[in-house]
Amino acid sequence: MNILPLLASLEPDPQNTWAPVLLLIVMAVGFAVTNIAASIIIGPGRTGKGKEETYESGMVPIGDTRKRFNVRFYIVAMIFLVFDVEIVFFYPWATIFPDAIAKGTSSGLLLVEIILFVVILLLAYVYAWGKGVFQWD
Amino acid sequence: MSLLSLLLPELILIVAASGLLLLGLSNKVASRRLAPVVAMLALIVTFCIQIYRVKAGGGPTQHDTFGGISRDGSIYGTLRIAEFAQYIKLISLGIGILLTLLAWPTNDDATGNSALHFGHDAGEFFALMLLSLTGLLLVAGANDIMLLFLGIELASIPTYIMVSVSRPLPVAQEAGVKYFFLGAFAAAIMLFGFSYLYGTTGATNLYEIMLNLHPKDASGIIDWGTRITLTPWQSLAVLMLVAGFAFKMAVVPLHFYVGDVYQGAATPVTAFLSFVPKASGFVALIKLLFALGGPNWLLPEPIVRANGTGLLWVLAILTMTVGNVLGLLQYNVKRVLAFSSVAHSGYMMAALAALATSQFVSPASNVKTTGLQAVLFYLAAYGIMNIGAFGVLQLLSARDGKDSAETFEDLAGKGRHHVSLALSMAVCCFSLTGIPLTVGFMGKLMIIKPALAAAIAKTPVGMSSVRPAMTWLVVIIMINAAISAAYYLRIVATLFLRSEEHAHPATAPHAAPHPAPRPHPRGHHLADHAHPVDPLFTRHTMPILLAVILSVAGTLLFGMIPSATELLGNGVQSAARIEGDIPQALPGLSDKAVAASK
Amino acid sequence: MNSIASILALSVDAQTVPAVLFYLFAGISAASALGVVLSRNIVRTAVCLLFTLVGVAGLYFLLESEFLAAVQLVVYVGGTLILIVFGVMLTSKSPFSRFEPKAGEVVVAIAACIILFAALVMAIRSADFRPQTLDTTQKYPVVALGQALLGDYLVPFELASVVLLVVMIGAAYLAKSRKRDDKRAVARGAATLSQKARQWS
Repeated sequence: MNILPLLASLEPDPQNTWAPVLLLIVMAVGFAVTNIAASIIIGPGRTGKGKEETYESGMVPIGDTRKRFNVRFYIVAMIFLVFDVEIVFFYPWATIFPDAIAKGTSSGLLLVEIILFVVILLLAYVYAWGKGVFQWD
Repeated sequence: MSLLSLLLPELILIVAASGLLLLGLSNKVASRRLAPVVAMLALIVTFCIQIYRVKAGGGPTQHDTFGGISRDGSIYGTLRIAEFAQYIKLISLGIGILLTLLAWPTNDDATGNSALHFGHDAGEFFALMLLSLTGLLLVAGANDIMLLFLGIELASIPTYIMVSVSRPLPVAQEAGVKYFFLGAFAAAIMLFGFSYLYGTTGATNLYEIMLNLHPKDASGIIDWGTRITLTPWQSLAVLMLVAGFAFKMAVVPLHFYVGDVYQGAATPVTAFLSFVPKASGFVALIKLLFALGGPNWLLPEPIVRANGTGLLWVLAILTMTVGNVLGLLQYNVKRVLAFSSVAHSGYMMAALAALATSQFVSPASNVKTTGLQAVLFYLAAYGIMNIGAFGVLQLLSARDGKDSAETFEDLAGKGRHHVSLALSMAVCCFSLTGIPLTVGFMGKLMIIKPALAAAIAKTPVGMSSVRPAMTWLVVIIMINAAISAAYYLRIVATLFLRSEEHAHPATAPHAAPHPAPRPHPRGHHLADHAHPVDPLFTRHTMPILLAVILSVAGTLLFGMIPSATELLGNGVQSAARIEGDIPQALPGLSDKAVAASK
Repeated sequence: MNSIASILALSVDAQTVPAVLFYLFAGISAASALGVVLSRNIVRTAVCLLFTLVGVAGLYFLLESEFLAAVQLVVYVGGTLILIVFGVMLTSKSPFSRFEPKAGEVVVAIAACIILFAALVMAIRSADFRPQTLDTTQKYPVVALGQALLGDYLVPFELASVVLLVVMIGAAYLAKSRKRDDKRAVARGAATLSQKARQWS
């Protein structure tokens, strides 16, 4: 099936920029649904006690998969989130910085501003490090 | 003024806090001893800068603004540090100094004092304290809802941690967690409100919001004389914002956390909680009301109705009454002070409620000027007199001799051994009640003044009278002052009249239903010897004693010496002129405003 | 092949595609938000929340604020949600912990929701949002955002970093392996407490 003409017919129309997105969503959902439906319909339905067991590299599974997690994971996730937010703030800065260099206007000031931003968070990092947050035990 | 010098106090505090954080990495006793010194130095330096700036303040044209890399020539940026902000900053820093004294780690290994046990976290603790104060300073200077929100959060988030850090006890952890979750919920509601405010006015700058809310003619001249009508959406925004601020101020429907959190936190942290978040809430509320009402304080419908009642009126009455009645029912002195702090928020709300009615009375100026002045004065007065009460609690030891006093049983009969301390407590309690010759009396007087002025003022033709609403307000303030006298005098009476033998747990009727959580200090105990009388002047009590002395001195000075009161009054007067310098049409903004109105 | 293309191109005109996408994303958000509230299983609730957040991100894309949409995906879907799932995994005693609200709680919650909903509907019916004029000259709206953040909003921008610093201190405090004496103190405190409780009961 040649999809190129289809895409070509959609692309040049600036009014229709959302059509490919819709098409992609429809295709993605359709693909998933089709596969699941097909495997239910076509696939052999032979099940049994042994087949429904968890596969644990040939070992007999012990206990439940869902256990309480170590609180460390939470801390790491929390620190990740803090730096995640920081990265988000970087992005707008990065978009204007090259332009400022090109124009030669206030690029130094911009650099200072972002360095200040980073230094404060670096301090947080140093503090967390010093407090042993990154030690697993 | 450049941005750096404009934000000098905040920058000093942030740099000091950063240094304290790094200091917190060390576990040495010396670094723990150094931490409060660094914090105190930073606060004193900023306080001096603030004194200088308030003195140099000058007329309304000399305000400092920051437009940054200015947007369309607008003269009002995210910050506007005029007299109002300078005043708030001054009192916050002054009270911050007293709060630092209360939290001074005085025991032998510098892990805390008689009431506070932060262990090795001295550096962090003081860093958080400074950052919280920085948040309050930024709230005072904020002229943009983004900065306002971030400032309120910066003032609040450290307090959540401080509550948990303050003592290694399950109650403190519980208090911290409770405070954090409820605070986060309140912040979410507040942010929701801010987003609607932005959505309906198209601006984040408080001045632009004010301009967009008010009608203007074709040439961009804004009509400050018309009372605006809020759309339902805007009303919803205002309601949510007031709810968010109400949590910080501990105003009644959102006061429920106060008892547990104030009791669970160590006493110095409780003192901190009763001032910093409250002040940030009130400052933010005043800024919001100013944006809604304009320079003439013509506040719109849900806030105040034509007969003088309205949101502020209801909140004021509820807060005063509920706070005082709950205060009567407590057996733990810290809880008494917690609910009295709710009641004091109610008094300040009453002044704002009176201010809101100024538009319905004939000489509006009288009500208008005294209303805002009353809030600003009371904020300072409450901050000063409250610290003394908490300080005395810290200095008196509990009945089991291990920790500082918290319950009435702990206080019983202590006045006989520590006359000076008990007298200090009496002064603070009298002041909190509003008995003459104290700063609390002057505060109450100023709170009643606008309401009374509105109650006796003439009603302009064609308007309904606010007299009944305001008369009721005055009467209820009086009744509440009387109720509060009951539990404040109970504290004083317990100190002097009850005997210590009487306070045995088996015979104390109040102790039975609530077993008091008793913190267990690490390190040196203030009073772990059998002799009941603790020496008053020791190395372990000095900083706290100094805070109490300063607080009592301030309470009496501003209450008795007319020139001192006048000094504070003058500061308040110039701070209350927050409407003084609004041009009729802002340059640069007027074109935009005209375009928006067309 | 061409015929399919032309049919598709004809049937999807400029208005309908965004409209269809809007209803798709809004529907996903609303349905999974209902799922968050109604599901009794805490893990399912978290998964439903994932779809709510993704739907909102889709709405942001439709409103052509790509940056906000990316933030929504990176911070909320990629970060906060993980945090919530971790929170579930390390706090719940049983992996299948369920919400069992009491009848009274359900009534109160429904009442609160109805009041809020009514208020919102009332407000929406009289909505007078002032649409901010979009700067169409910028090819990338993020540039305008960057200029605003590092220009007019410099103070809030830097302040955000300070707030993150405070959050980090809180996280470090949580994570800090409590010192041995701290643990002893907590144990002592707890012992004193229970002793007091016995004494007074």
